[in-house]
Amino acid sequence: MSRPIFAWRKAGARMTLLSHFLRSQGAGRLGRRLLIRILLGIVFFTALGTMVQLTIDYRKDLHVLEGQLEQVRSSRVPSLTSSLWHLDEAQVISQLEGILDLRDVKFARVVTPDGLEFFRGEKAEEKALVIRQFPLLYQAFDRTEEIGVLTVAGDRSAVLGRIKDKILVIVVTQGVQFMLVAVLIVAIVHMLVTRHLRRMALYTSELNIDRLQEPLVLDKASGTPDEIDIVVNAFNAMRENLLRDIRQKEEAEAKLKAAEGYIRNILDSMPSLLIAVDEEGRVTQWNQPAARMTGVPAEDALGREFADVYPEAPLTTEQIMAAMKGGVPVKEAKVPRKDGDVVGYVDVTVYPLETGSVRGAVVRIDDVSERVRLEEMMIQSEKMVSIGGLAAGMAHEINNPLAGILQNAQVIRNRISSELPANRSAADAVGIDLQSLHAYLDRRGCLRMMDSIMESGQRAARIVENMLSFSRKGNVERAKVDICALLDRTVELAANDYDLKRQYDFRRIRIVREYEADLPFVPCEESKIQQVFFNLIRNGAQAMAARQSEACFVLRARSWGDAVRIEISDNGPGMPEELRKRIFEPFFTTKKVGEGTGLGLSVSYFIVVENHGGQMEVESVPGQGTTFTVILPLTPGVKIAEGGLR
Amino acid sequence: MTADARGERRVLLLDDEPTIRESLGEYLEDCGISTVQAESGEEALAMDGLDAVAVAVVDIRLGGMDGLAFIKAFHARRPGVRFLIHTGSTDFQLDPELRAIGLTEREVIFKPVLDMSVFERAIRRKLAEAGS
Repeated sequence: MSRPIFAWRKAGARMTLLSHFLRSQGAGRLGRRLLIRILLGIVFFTALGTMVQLTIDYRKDLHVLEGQLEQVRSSRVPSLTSSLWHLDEAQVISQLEGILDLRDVKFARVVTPDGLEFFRGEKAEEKALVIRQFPLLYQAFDRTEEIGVLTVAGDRSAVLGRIKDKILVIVVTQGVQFMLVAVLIVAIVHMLVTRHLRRMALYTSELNIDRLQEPLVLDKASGTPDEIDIVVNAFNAMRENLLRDIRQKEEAEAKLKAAEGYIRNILDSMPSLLIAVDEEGRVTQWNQPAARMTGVPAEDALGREFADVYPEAPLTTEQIMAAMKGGVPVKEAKVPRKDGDVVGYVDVTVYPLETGSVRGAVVRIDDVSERVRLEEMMIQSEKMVSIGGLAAGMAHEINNPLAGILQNAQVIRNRISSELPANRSAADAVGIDLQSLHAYLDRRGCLRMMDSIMESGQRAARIVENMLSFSRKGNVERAKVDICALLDRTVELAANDYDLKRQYDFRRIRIVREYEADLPFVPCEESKIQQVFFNLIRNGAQAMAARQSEACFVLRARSWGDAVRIEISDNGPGMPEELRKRIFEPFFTTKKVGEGTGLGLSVSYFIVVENHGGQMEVESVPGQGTTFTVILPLTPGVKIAEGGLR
Repeated sequence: MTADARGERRVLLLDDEPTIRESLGEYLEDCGISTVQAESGEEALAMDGLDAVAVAVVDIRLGGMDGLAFIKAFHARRPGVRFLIHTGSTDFQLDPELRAIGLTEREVIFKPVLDMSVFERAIRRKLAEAGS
């Protein structure tokens, strides 16, 4: 027996604790409410029960009283009649007193018709009394004579008083009874329902995503499941479902995020600028190259007007809108784009977005400057190679007559000279004076003409020679050349060049050298590369001839990956883009007829690109100067990858 | 003391293009260098007075026997003779046999020469080599 009691106490203690906790939480007043209602019920039923009990008791007592009074008729009236007949006053009184001895009799009175009255007891208000009147009839022979009336008054208030005395006992008894039942009910309800409800309330009030793992467990004997078990099981099942749903959702979100990241990564890894806009022309997609090109990060660009984010874009919002309206991709190739001083080209394509509910367009911008440049170079090379092939085919045929012209002209020139003894003797033999002959030929311009023949022949020879260099010669032995020393020697050579001296005083040009220390030697055909440098320096000097002061060459040489990069910059007048594009073309020249062959730069280009597998490029800003860049690979036979200049 | 007195050393000019051959001959003559001239390899090999030839200037493209064959044949006969090649063929390359004879790129002169003093200097150098 002690165990259940202990358990009860324990449960009670827990209930107190819990109720305290829940009260402090402002929740769980079910027990209290139940208790209050039960208490109210107890009060009501106690009152009702007491009233019923009292009424019954009162009636019973009154009935007893009336019975007593009735008894007076049989037990007292005959003797009293007799005493009265005999006028035994003492006896009458004594008998009245005897009646008075009966319980709850207030008074007894006999009144004779003569007006004689015998009274014993106390007078009282008639209301509080139960009055019975018995005629006192004397039987004398054949007649019955009424000799008086006995009045007995029962005291109602005495009955009431007794009942009143019992009220407390009844109330207490009933109250305690109900109370015990109530406590039992509350305890049972608590045991079976409330404490579980509290536990559930507590559990649910503290429930959140993180604690969803913990199941709802009640301190409850496992047996046949009741409604609470059903609720708990249903709740736990719901919780499991919820957990599974959350996990699924999380997994789906993670997958979506990964897919999103992957797609973003793909977009960002594209070399193209990929920009998506919506119907209003607002940016909805902005990849990494777009951010790099514009300097605007994606988070700043999204949601803004395209033209606002990228004002220097090679296309207008109107063009995008037109493509969107048209519903077909619109492509514009080789759109010039100025990026600082450098002119570049981009291909612009607008793809309208048609599929799905999203409307808008994707703008793709590709930098094709490199491709355009390579195309230009390729065209140059091909032109040169075709010229080279042509030249090689006819060089032998041209060179022989050229040799004839030049050699004969030289012999003639020699034989006019008075220095040769053979000339003098031949003149003597025909009887002329060499001096006079010389003077005559001079006067008639023949000497100059002969010089002209020689010069023209020499020029033609140079042209053929240059054209011949446009052929791809293999297995030429290459020595390791100190490029910086070669540059210096070439400058020296240019300073002493007769043709150049005629046009410009080379000593007035300031030379700035920016050579990297310990630059590796470059395997190349030294004479060919010197020819390249000489061509470039001569070109620069001629370009700067117009400049009165502060003409300046900057010569740079530095390592460039597995190559050496040489730059020759002048601060001459520069050249416009149209000119720059054609500068390596064979026979393209801006010089006066006779000043250049129009092959110098194309030959240089050919030597660098075709014969040495290097790269050559020119950049020019009109009004500021021109820079020629030559890149020569350090490993012979390995061509510099396309775009090696960038 | 003339060159003849010591057994004059001559230069053989072998070229099928008369204007080139003759003008070069005239030029060398003016420089005091005696020449013998031939139009083809066969003619040259059959010529008299080949013993006096110390240096030969040889064109490569010739009718009949070409310059290279001539050099090899002439070298076999007269190993002391030095050679210069004077060619209009732009793609001319020395083969190992010619290199073995002692020809290098320095001995190859491409047509047209802008100034024939190139020949004078080269020939004098060769004469000096042949004489030593």
